[in-house]
Amino acid sequence: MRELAELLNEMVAKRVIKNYAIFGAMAQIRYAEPVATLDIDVLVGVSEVERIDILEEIYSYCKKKGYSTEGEAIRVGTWPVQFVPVFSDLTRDAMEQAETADFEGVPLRVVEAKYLAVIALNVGRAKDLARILALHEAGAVTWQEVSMIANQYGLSHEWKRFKNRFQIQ
Amino acid sequence: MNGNDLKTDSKFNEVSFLLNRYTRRQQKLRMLTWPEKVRLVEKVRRSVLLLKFSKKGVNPS
Repeated sequence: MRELAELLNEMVAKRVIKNYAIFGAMAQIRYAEPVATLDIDVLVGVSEVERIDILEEIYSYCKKKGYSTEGEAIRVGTWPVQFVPVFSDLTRDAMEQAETADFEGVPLRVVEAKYLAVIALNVGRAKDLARILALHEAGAVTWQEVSMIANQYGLSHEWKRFKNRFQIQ
Repeated sequence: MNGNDLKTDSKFNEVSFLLNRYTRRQQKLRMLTWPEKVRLVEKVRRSVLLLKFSKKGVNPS
């Protein structure tokens, strides 16, 4: 993970990517208790969003550095890393407003808990809904925060459904 | 109190004990730092992969 933090910061410095932020389970782990995961998800901002091979620069940069691919992921240290280009206003803002954490002495950007919860709400699989509950139970988000951001990004229907399902007042 | 009540009480105490233990464990885990949690998850991932690949006779790197 430390190696990944160094790689990501280097890619920003060399303008391979504009910005990045860890999200998914690995970000959840920062705010709540550990959960099992098989890979690390990274939101990335790239300059040429219109290209079909949007991740090409990332892949070739990593290849030059000696990292191998593993399916769609790039193996960094012991972890397969999925690079996910920002795909909506929500994910773009989540990446831009990410916090910079200290990971064993290396700065590492990570999506804020409230954005993490709303991205999970948007995706909506069972494990994503469990993520929202875990973040709330850990005290990392309040329902007001989730509600506000969900409404801001047009997810009020999903939020209402979630509230009904889990009987949230 | 009859036999059934005793049984119900005993089950209730057992569940309550397990829930309390689970809650304490979760709270402890939350107190860990992010790198500590990541190391823990790494161990779990490695175990899962070892189990998966042991059936195929492959050693995951």
